[in-house]
Amino acid sequence: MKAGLPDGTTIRGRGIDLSAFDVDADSVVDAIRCSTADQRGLHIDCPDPGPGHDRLAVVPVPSFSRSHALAAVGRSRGLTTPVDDELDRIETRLADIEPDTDTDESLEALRAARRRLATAGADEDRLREQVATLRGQLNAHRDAGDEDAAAAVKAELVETTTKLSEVSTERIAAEQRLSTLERDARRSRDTREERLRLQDALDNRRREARQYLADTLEPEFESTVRELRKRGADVADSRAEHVVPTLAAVKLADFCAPVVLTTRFFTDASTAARVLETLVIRV
Amino acid sequence: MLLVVTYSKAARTTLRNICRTHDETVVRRFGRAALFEETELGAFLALRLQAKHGADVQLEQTEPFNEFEAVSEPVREAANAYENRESPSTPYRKFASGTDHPSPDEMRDREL
Repeated sequence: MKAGLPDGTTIRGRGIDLSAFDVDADSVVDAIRCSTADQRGLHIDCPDPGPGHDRLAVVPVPSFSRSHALAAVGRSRGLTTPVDDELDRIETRLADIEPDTDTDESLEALRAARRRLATAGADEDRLREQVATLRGQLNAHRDAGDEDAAAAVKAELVETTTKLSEVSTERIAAEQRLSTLERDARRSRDTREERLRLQDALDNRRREARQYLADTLEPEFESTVRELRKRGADVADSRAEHVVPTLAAVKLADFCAPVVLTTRFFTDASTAARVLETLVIRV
Repeated sequence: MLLVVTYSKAARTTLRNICRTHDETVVRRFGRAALFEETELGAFLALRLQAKHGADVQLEQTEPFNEFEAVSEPVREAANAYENRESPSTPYRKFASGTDHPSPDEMRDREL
């Protein structure tokens, strides 16, 4: 592989030490994944990272999980698991489910429809009460023989009744609009429910696949860990959490692209590359 | 009560956290759904969940079911009679035919 530095330096080799240069692990990983130079001019010329590389690209990894690491090893070697076919099927079905469209709009439309119905309902209640009160007044005036007052109340009653009928029409329209939108929302929830079910199934199958790969690779992994611990017995970094298990996973993995070491477990980058049987960049 | 149903992993996780921290407001939890107390705090928690996760959260208001108010007598009687039937393997459709009990088709189209 070949590393091109921002200052124009070019370094070649199976193990490259960049610790004298101002580059961090993340930008080196980005450069490994990208075929062109980054903004600062860092460029790593190497084969494309294959499966599993993303999880073991930097040693030590921030959070080490044995099953995740061994699954990455298995995938880098092209190992398959009994649940792979089902994983493919679930992924295909998930991809077929249409993504959410205009979610915010439909949510907003539903909210507007609920508000409209609430307003119309409240208006209708208020007017209905008014009509009842006016009817009572009208009867009282008629009973008292006060025709003028009765005529005035009657005019008001007619006006209020007209308003009530308008508001009732509006309330019915609002109800219909809301129930149409709710029917659509129910349909969209069916899709969401199916998607969630598939995502849960996907998580479960992935967990089973990881467990299968971890079980398959366990003996090899344990013996590599022992070997590395013996080798690094005097190295301070070997006692750092997860360093040895991560290095063991890298050694077992079949990567074409380099891994980035921030640990000082090995004396130099080319020793690291030789022992790990992988291209190595030290930062 | 307020029925809260979630439809995504993220919404389900938030609901789980709400249930953990607001024990007194959560009446019951079922997987990715829950019943909240019908209080302003219950409504506040439900609306907050919806504000965060949008259409992945469904909110409904439930009410206690009173069969004597909502359901006609023949339906109530049919339910009891069928559960007390002599032959356990008789399907309801067959049980009801030729009797006064309502058929499943009749009941399907009648709203409460």
